[in-house]
Amino acid sequence: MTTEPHPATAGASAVAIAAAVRAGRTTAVEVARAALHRIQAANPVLNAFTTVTAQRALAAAAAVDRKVAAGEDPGPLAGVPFAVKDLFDVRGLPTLAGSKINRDRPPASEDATLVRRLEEAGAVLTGALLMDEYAYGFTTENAHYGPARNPHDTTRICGGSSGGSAAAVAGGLVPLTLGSDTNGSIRVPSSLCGLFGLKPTYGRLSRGGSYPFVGSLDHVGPFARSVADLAAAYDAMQGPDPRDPAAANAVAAPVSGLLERGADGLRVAVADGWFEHGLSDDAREAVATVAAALNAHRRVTLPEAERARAAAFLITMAEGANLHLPDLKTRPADFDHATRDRFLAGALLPATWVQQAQRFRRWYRDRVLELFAGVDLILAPSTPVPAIPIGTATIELDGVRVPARPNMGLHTQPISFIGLPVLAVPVSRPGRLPIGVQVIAAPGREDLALRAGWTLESRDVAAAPVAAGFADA
Amino acid sequence: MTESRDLSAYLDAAAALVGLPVAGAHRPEVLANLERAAELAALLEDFPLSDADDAAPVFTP
Repeated sequence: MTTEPHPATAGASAVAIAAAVRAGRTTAVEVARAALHRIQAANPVLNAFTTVTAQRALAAAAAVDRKVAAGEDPGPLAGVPFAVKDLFDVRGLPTLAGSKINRDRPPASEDATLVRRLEEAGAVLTGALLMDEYAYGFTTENAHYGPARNPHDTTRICGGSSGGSAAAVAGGLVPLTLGSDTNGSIRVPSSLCGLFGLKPTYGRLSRGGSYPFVGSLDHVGPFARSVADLAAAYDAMQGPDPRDPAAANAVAAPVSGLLERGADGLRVAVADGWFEHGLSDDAREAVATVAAALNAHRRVTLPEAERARAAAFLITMAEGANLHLPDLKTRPADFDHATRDRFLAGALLPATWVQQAQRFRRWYRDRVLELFAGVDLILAPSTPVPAIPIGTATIELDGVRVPARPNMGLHTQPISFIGLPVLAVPVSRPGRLPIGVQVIAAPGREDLALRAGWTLESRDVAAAPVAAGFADA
Repeated sequence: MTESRDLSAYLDAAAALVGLPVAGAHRPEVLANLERAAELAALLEDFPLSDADDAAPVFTP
């Protein structure tokens, strides 16, 4: 039997830290100091953090400790160190969103809603995390700030656009981070860094106080190294928020107490067609492993998934470009070269292309939702390949050489297109690079995806250990 | 089937209309991205939609 790691170490879970702090077995300040020390030591290599909020972290931790000492409830995530993708507003910091341009913006006057809710639950903010510029990427190779490096192999990418969020957790710096996902930006880094990631139903978690990319498709969600940690964070963040129109009527449906029901009785199928093409053996094997563990013997077809991906692509270009149009007109050279020319093109798309994409979206949503009459969960690959070396331009899929970056999101894009909740699960592959699988549920049924994830984790089919080079001695 | 398209004239005209200068150095990449978008749009253009297929987003007053 393995001993629970000490709460102040890299391997400690959020749930264990909170329990220890609440019980007075350790202090939030000790946990925060240790996290800040790990961040300071590892960040020169991983490049996960763009800002470390050390003073704020220590002050917040001290406040948690005062509550514990006074016999008050410090919250369900008491003392848990966390960090957020740098598109979330952090009071007093300019919200960079991976850009150089945003450095010129005034500092945020208040925290993003999810930052505030995690703090109210007792969690301790340690800083802001690197991302692809304006979230328009799948690799976190940022021209202004450098690449985020994968803790499992620091010559390789973390994936994107929430690469820093994934690196910070996989590297054992903090047990919990927040990212965003428009076309795959939580699920891709979860896969490449071997983490659990939750992209909830569109509109379930508030985007209030976060810098946007594509209003039609943006989601926000957590990364963690266990399903229980993910569920604890998710539960602390749920609830309606008038700041985000998509989440104005969000219903909180706590899941932490439901996990142990597991996957028993759930009808699980594997997505075929588009989702079975353009895959490495690693990706194919990962899906097969998860399918076997969940008794998923059937296949389902998401019709026209290739068109769905095309539609998401066009909507992304158009909405993203419109948002940045003033800067594209006046200071195009200040953009990351990797985003600029896509945004420029996006500003020129004929309206009828984008409208067609949105109408197709209605058709596709209706057809895919029909599938959930006969199935509870659908499995699909998260990424076609494990992490590639930083700077890789092309990969070979099905014998064809294709551009690496856009193809990372081939299998995630058709799912986020219609806002379905997805748990990204890391398949246990000791000694090999991580790779993950999407566990996809019907709208609002995050609970079923998390229950399946809990079963996979309890059987060691899915696991997210701290990367070898960063684990506790 | 993808036909090769010459979108240069479109790029110049649309950029002028939107008031978006596209510097010479950026032009080839912007054109390539426009061509990519056109290929994807063609996939959707082909797809039969009926009068009843409204756009997905629904406005809530």
